[in-house]
Amino acid sequence: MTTISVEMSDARLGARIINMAYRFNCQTHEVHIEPAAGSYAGRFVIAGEPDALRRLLMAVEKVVRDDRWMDAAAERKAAYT
Amino acid sequence: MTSQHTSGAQIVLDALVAEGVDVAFGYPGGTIMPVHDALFTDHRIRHVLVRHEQGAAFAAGGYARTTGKVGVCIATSGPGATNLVTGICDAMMDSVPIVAITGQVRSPLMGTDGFQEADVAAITSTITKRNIIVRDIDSIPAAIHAAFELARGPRPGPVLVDIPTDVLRTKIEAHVAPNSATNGHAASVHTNGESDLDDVSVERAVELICESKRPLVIVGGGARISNAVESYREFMRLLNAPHTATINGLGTAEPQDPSFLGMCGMHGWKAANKAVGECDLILALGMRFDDRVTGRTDRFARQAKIIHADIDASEFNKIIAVDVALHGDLDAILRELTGRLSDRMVPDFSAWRERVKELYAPLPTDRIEGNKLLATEVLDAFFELAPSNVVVTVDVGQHQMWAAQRARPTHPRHFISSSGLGAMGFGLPASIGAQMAHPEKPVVAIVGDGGLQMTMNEFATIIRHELPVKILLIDNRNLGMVRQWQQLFYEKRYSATDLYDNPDFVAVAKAYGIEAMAVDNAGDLRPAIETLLHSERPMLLHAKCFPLECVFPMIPAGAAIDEMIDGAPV
Repeated sequence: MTTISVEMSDARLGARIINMAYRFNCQTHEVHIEPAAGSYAGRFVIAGEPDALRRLLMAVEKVVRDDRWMDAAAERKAAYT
Repeated sequence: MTSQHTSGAQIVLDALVAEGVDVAFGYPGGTIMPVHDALFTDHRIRHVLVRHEQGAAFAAGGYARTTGKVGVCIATSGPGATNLVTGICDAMMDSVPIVAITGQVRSPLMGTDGFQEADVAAITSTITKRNIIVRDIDSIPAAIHAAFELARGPRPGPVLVDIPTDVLRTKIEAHVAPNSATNGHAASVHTNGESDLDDVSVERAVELICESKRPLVIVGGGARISNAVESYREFMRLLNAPHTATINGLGTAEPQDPSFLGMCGMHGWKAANKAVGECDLILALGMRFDDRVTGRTDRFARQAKIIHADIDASEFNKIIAVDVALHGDLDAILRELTGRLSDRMVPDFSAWRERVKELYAPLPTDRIEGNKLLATEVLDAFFELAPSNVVVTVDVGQHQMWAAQRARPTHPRHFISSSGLGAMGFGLPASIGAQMAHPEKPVVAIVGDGGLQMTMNEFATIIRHELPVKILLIDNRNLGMVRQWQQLFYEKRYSATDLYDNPDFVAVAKAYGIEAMAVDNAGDLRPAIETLLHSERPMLLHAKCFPLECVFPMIPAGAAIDEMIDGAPV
C-alpha cells in the first residue's frame, strides 16, 4: 500500500491516475481530490505489487510534470495577450 | 492599430501561424467548418485535404518526424476526431510533436449525445501528453500556444485541442496591430529545458567508460529529437567503439562507420545482438529499452553496467536497472561526455572491435527455386540504387524490418517508421507529410500489400497536391509478419493472413492518376527501380514477391537478445 500525493492544475489527472493504477493491476483504496489555491491537491491510496507500484509512481510523475509544463505555458501566453 | 471583427476560427489560424505553422493536414466536417471557412480566404496555411482523418494524423507525424517541427492535423467532432486516434497514439509512442485540432459540438450540446459528439478529450487522455477543451474565444491563443509548447518538449508528443463550434463561430471585436498574428512569440522555440544533468553522474559515466573493456553504444530516437546527430558522430569518433541503433535511431551513425553494427533487437543484425550479450558496458542514448530491443529483460546484457541518457526521467529503471542515469538533453550530454573524455586517455577498444568483427554474419536469405522475386532482393537493390538524400517512410510488417536491416540513412530524419505503435497504414500518409516538408528531396514510401490497403485512399491526396511521392509496394499476398509467426509459432495454422484476392494495384494506382508498373522477376528489377527513382511524378512500383519469405534473424518472443534464429525449422 502506498500513498501518492500530487498537486494538479487539472483535476482530470485524478481520473488518469486511477485508470493507470487499474492498468498496472493495482487497487485504488482511497481517493481524495480537493481544491487548493488555484490547483487541486490529490491523494490516492493504492495497493499493488512493488514493481507495479514503482512503475505507477514513475508514470504519475510524468503526467504531473506534463500538467505543470502546459499550465505554465498557458499562463505565460495569457500574461502577454 | 485598427479595429475589426474576427472569429474564433480566425484566431485559431492566427495562433497557428504565430507558432510557425505553414501546412496542416485535415478533413472538414460540421463542427470544424468555421476553420475551413477561414482557410478559404486565409492562405498563410496550406491545407492538405486527406481522404481519411487517420491519414491526416499520420501525415502530420511524417511532417514532424522529418522536420522536428510540430505537425498539425485538423478534424471535425465525433468520427473525425476518433479517426485521428491511431495517428495520435503513434505520435505518443514515438515522441513525435503533433497538435490535433478538433471541432466539437456546440457547448450547450456537450454531454447530450449530440450528433457527431464524442468525448474526444476522454478518449485521447492516455494517448496525448494533454488535451484541452477550449471554452471561450479568449482562451484560444493561450490554449494553442500551450499545446505547441507541450508538444515540442522536453520530450515531444501529441496534444489535442478540442474547440466547440460555437466558440469557433463567435465573433469579437479585435484590436489588431499590424502583423500581430505573426509576431512569432514562440514560433521557432524548441524548448529542451528540463535537465538536471549533474556533475557526479557525468563523472561516474566517464569513469565507467574508461574502466570498460567492451563498451557498446545503443542510440535511439532521442538523437533525432534532440538534434544530436553531429554530437553523436563526434562522440563515436572519439570513443571508437562498436555501436548499434534501435529502429528510430537509424541514421544517427555515419553510414559508412565500420564500427556501426546496424540495427539491434528482434530482427536486428546478429553482431549487434551478440555484442549486447558480450559487452561489459552499455551506453543507452535516447532509447527506452523497448521489448522489441531487449528480448528477455532478465537476460539482457547480463555482463554489462548500464549508463542511460534520456530527457525523460521516468524512463530510468523502467525496464532495465541502470547504474548511471544521465537526465537531460542528449545533445548536451554527448557534448559534455566528449569534452570530458577528450581530457583523458580514451581506452583502446581495438581488441573488442576485432571480437565484434568475428560476430559478424550476413543477413540470411531464403533460397527458393526458379526466378521468383524475393522481397529482400528488391530492398537490397533499392537501397543500393537510392540516392543518399532519399527520405524513406515504411509501413509496418516484414518489409519494415527488411528495410530497417538494409537501410543506411544519412540522417535519422531520413528513415521514418511507426516503431513503437507499429501502426499499419502509416507509410503512405507519412510520405505525404514528408514530401510536403521536403519538396526538394526524393521521398519513397515502402509499403506492404496489407498496410497499403489500409490507407491507399491517400493516392488521391498525392495527386491533388502534385506530390512526387514514390511507392515501392512489397506484395507477398499475405499479412506476412503474422503469417511468419503462424509458420514458426502457431503450427502453420494460417488463419486470416492470406491476401490471395488482392486487387490489381497497378490498375488502382492508375485509376487515381498515379503512374504504375509491376515487376515479378529479378531480371527486370533494377531497371524498374531506376525508373521509379527517376520519375518526376508520383509512381508506384508493384513488386510481386515470393509469398513465403521470412524475416531473419529473429529473436523468438520470450528469448534472450542473443538467442536468434536464422531460419525456419524444416
